[in-house]
Amino acid sequence: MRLYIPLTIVILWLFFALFGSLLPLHPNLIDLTEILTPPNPETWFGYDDLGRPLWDRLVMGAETSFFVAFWVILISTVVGTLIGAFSAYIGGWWDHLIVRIIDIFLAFPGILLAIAMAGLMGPGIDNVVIALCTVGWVGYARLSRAQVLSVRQREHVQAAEALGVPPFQIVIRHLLPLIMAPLIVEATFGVAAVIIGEAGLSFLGLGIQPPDASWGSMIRDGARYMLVAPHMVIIPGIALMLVVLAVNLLGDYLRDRLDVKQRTT
Amino acid sequence: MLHFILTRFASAVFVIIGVSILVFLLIHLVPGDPVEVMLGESAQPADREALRHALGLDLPIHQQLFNYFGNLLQFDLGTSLHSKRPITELLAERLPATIQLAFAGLLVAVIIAFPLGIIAAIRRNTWWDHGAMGVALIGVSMPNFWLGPLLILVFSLWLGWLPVSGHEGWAALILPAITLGTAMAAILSRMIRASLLEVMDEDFIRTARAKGLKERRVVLKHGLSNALLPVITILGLQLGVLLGGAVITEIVFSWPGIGQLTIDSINRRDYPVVQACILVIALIYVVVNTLTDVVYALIDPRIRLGDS
Repeated sequence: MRLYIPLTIVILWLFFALFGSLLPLHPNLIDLTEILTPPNPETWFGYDDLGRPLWDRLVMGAETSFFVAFWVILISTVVGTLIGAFSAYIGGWWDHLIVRIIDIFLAFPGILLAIAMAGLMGPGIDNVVIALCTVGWVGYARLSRAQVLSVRQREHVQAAEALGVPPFQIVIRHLLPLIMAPLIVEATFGVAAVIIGEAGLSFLGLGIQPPDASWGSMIRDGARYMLVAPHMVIIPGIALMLVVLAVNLLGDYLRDRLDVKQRTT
Repeated sequence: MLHFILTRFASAVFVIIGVSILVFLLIHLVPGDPVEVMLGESAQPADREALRHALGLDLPIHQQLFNYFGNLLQFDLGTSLHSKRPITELLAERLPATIQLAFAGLLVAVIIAFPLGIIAAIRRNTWWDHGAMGVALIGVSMPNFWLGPLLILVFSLWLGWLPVSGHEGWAALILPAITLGTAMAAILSRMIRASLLEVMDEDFIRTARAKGLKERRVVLKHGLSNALLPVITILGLQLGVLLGGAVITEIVFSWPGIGQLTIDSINRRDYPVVQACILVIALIYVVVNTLTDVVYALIDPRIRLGDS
């Protein structure tokens, strides 16, 4: 129960994100007779202010959120983990420097830095990925650094050092496998944060550009027609919340399952 | 103690310098020539050169950085390209509204989080607990740019109880504060629950019960006051998240704060103002966090002793 419902939602999200473009959908097809049509038995999700089918656009939004989540999590986990792990393993002034840099990035609350970056680089989905990665890697760097510090004195690491295994291999083969569990949990919660981040930037008009759709930009468009067509705001919001909720539930499940200590934030 | 405070302030100064450099570099993210982007393609070459000179972009980068810090130390953040006014003046106008919103959000978060967290902890593993934590989980998963419009829809458009937007009177503050405070309430209630559960297993709680104290007094006086310490740290950290979240909330409700100024300035390509807004919010965050740490150390000797 606790696992199946969120898992189903995430699988549906992945399915529509990956195969949505193969389905017979017309997210940009304008039907002037259907402008602002609310949900009805024939079209469950209704139409938007330009007469475009909301369901088709929701699927397109799923593609957008998945695209951004995939690349941001991939890039920021790999970059962040490597930086944090090597920093902790090598130590010395290098580690000091990395800690300082992490502190500097953490000084920007929430997605503020991403907002500024996306705003200055100009709108577009690639810039959203870059902006969210710039904010995202820090968490993984901090976590992997702390984790490596706690396991780097283990005997098998000392044994590998005594055998003359180069530092790169020690980190990759002997340290990273030990710290995977908390990183996986963090990355799962990270997916939820990135989905909200992308939608937030698109809501502000800094992300995806028309005619492409993001759940965030759909909420933004819908907010202008709230009195006459509330479904334009409610439906993409529900999709967004369900996916984020499901991912968070999976994160909770993984955390308990992998026995990772409670996150502090 | 003095050692702890001094190291904490030293590292804050270092972070502030780093943050300033990062914000300084932001302008170089603008694709192509920032001056051309700001003025538009139709601008006269003379105007471009004048702006380039005014922003110091014609100087070598180390000279730019040097001037930038020199100006920062004199609280000179430059001039807005749009309104031609000093940016410090714009910020001074907008800052009170953002701070007001952040504190109102904090208040909402505390009002929601404490009952939820306490009920979940003392009725552990019952439907009360699951219900309260379920509400908290939904709260975290509900982005403020959706919650805001939903609240407007229900309480302003359908029920007509509260204004849609604006900044006049207390009624206008209610919906933005709820929008901003909900996510924090969710995180905070989970923290309170976890912290209280840990404390309730301690020996002194058993002693308090053995003394025959009423359960209410055991929980509120002996339990909660000890469970509060870690919660205070989270409050400090979360105030930053509130400041960040305020940007989006301000847009939803047309709240005339720094967030609105940031986004307006992005849309007007008034990049010096964008930089200044980001810098000010980050600086407030650093200062608040540093002060939280110091206050925390003053209250709890374990922190400063453990750290040195």
